[in-house]
Amino acid sequence: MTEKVHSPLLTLPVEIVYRILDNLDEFTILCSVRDVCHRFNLITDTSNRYQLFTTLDLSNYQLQDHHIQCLVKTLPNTTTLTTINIGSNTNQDGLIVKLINALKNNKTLTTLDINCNSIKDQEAQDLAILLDNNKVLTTLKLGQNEIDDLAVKYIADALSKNTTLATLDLSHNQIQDQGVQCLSDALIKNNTLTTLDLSYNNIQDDGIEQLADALKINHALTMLDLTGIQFGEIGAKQLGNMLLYNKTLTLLNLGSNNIDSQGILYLANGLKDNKTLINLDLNKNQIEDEGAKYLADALIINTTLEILNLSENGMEYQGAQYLANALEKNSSLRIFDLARNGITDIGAEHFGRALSSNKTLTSLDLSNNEINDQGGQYLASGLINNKTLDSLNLHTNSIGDQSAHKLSVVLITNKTLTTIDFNNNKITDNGIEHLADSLTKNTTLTILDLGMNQIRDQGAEYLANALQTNRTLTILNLQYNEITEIGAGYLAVVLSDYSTIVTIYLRWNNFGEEKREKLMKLANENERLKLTDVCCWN
Amino acid sequence: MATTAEASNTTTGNTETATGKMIKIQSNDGQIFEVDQGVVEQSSTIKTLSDLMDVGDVPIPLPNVKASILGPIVDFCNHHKNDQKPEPIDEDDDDDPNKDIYEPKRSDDICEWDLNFIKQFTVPEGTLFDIIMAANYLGIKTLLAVGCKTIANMVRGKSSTEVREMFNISYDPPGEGINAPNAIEGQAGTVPTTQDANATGPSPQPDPMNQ
Repeated sequence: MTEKVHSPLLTLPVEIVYRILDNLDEFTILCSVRDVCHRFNLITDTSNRYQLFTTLDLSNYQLQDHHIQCLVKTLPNTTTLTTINIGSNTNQDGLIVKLINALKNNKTLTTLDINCNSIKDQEAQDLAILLDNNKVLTTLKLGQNEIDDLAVKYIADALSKNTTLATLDLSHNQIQDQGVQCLSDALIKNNTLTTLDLSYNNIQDDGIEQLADALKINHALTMLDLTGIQFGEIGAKQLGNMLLYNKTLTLLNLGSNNIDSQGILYLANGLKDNKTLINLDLNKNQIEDEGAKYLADALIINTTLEILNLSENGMEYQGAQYLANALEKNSSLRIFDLARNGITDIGAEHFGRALSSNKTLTSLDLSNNEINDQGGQYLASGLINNKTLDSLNLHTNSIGDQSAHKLSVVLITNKTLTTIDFNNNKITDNGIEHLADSLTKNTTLTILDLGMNQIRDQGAEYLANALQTNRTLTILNLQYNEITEIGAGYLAVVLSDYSTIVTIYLRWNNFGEEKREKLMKLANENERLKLTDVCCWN
Repeated sequence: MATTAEASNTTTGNTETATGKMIKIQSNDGQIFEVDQGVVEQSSTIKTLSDLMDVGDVPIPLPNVKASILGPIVDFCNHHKNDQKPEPIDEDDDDDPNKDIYEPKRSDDICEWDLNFIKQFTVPEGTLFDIIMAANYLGIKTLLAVGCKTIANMVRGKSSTEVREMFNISYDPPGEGINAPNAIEGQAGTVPTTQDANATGPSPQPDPMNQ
């Protein structure tokens, strides 16, 4: 045994070393304490924190060479780490390549996140070697890099042999048709990848065709994200055709593309025969009323789709009519998003009718449409017989007191609605009087958003009175109304009863500067009266 | 203001204390310090010993602390004796090893007086470790925390090589450390400390009488 000079640091009892470690984050322990000497390795290895240390988050860490050197040295010996996130670092001097190479013999890591690191061909090549040998990595995130067709070819080749990777994120790269062809070839052979994110790449119709053909054969992929690819009619045709054959895909995200009514016809035809897809996202396309007709036809036949997002698709009352008619017959759709279209009162009338007969829909989003007080009444009337909807979103429309009145009648007996969003509408104290009254009888609603309406102190008083008995509402948003310190006072008084459970948001009302002190005192005494916090329940 | 052991002896003349009862403590090199109850309260070891012994004018022997360390510690406790009582949460530190797993304690919250105080103790002279060991032995949690945070702050951001240099730690010979490809159990025999038995068990309770 060699003679050594012993540092006094090494004579500190183990519990004091633990106390020092208590002040350090995991990466410092890994980099600066481990590997200093044998004793520190023993101590860190036996420390409880280190044993439970499974995730190393180094995103935005400004990683430098010595960090990577430490990781390279330490990684082969770590047996606890399952996730490394080194997203958003500047990939200088081949840092990422060094790290990837250090992982080659690793047997514990299941998730590697290298988003946003200027990854190009060299890194992709090393990743491919890693994937060839590695048998544990299941999630690889490579979003927002500079992966082009050549770089993706390396990864695709590895993918065709790899049998462990389940999730691959290639979003926001520079992959074009040729790259997709390589990936498609890999998908034909690969049997383990379940999630592929190709959103925001430069893939054209040709690439989509290759991918769609591969998915007719592939039996593993369940989630495919093709958001923001900008493909058009031919791509939609290929994907629609794929849906006829594919039996595994459950989620297909096609938002922000150029799918028009003709493109949707192909997709709708696929949907008629498809029996596996559960979630289809078509937001921000150009489906319009004609496309809605095709989709409606498919929804009448399809029995598996549960979530459909058609927001921002230029649909007006006719489209709404087709879709509403389909809802009367469809019995699988649970969540339906029609936000940011041009649906008017006539459309709302159709949906009201659909709601009174539909028995599966739980969430309907009609926010940012052109529904006035008349349309609101139709929807409320439809809810009288409805026994399934739990969330109704009419954010940013123009419904008023009559709608609120009609809905209050619903709320007295309804046992399913838990969330109502009437934010940014035209409800005044008159409508609030009825709504508040129904809250004394309702025992289901937990979130009521009445922000940005025309509620004054009288309305606040109605609501305060209702809250004396209501014990189910948890969030009441009254931001951006016309309530003064008097109305706030009513609400403060009712909240001082400790058996109430609701939190009330009151920022941006008509509170004068001179009342600030008094109001802040109210807020300080009532933890659930939020005068400055911003309400964001959704 | 760097106070020395001699200077702290002037506390002997200080009769203006809460209870008026002064206690004498003796360093291992024979120097006697007179401290009031405000100081005694901060050291669980002195408190226990003074309660146990109730020796009146006989100084309590503190065989693990020398005067050059005990003097500054008396200064530290005199400075902090009017502080608000430490939150009882501190008491649980060692009881629950699962606590703070994901949130390391803050170590940037050392007050300026303590920062200046701890500066007089250094690594090359070994006095920084002496003060930590003494604080541990005397059961002065606040001082122990300042010492541990100071070392944590020195380590943070350094490579293992830099840490080795800073603390004059000789590296386990290359190829023999735990990181060596063929690391074997036999290497454990080279570990230069008597504390290994502790290192493999769960964090033990601090034992004020250890060593």
